[in-house]
Amino acid sequence: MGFVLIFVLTWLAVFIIYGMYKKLSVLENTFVYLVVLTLGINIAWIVAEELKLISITKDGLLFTGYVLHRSVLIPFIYVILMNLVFRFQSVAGRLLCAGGALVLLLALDGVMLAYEVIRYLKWNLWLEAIEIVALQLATYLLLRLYRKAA
Amino acid sequence: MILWEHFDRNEWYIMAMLILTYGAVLLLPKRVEAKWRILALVWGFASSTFFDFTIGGGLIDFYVVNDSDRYELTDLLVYILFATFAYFFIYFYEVLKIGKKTLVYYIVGWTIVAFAMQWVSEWMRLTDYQRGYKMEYNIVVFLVIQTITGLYYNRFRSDRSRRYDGAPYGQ
Repeated sequence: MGFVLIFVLTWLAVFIIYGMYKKLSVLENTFVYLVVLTLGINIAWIVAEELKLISITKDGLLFTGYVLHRSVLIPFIYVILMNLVFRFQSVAGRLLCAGGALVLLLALDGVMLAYEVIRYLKWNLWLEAIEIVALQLATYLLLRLYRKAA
Repeated sequence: MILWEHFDRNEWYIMAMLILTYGAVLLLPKRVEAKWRILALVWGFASSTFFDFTIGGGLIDFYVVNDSDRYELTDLLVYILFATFAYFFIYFYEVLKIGKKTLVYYIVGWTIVAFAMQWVSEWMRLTDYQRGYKMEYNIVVFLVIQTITGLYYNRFRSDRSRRYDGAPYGQ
């Protein structure tokens, strides 16, 4: 069930991006996806495999769910977020979007924990929240740099 | 994360290749726009990271990059090195004036180049295959990455629209 749920959520994210009003160009959306994919993979590896703060399932199907979550679902949520952030002119609107994405991403971590895709060893939701906010900030700043350079 | 286990030929190979490839990136005439140059480098970095951390590590773990399964600084340098190949793919796409009909030959050519590079990398002990993984399986990876790169570039290279005005795509 864990794999199915992650798959359905990923499918839903794909369709939200497909149908949504996009403020960013195709190249900018691709840039956001690739940046989050790269940073996310590196952070996940360091946290789980190097520092052993999280353990990842050894079950093949659940591991596929983990890869799907890490490589598609999470970056797609950031793509949706960045399109919303650049749509709002006010700081309050942008912060509201970032806050909403933070809650959503933490809830997804809850799903991963509930289905034992991952297990916290020396990790908790507060540390996860810090990681998410840092990634949101890094993505936003890198996107602004990209837009300036391009 | 460690720097490296032993600084020997694979590390020297990475250093030499980094100087060579980034030297070329800096010296070659800028034939594509900055937005494509940056995106190509990010794509090269992301695709190599994705494959290494998915099939080259974790549960699957088909190969070891550099000296160990640990995340070494030289692993990161390998991904930075791979970034330039996506750049060169797009650069020579423009130089050779590749189009829809010639894309397949271009991808086959790059796959041969990539396979040769992989052979040198194995000889330099940059990659060690395990769990029954064979070097020729990399051809699948090369074809997937280069096809995505080629089709994406072909589709969007002439797309001049920058929708900062908020107009949705396709309208």
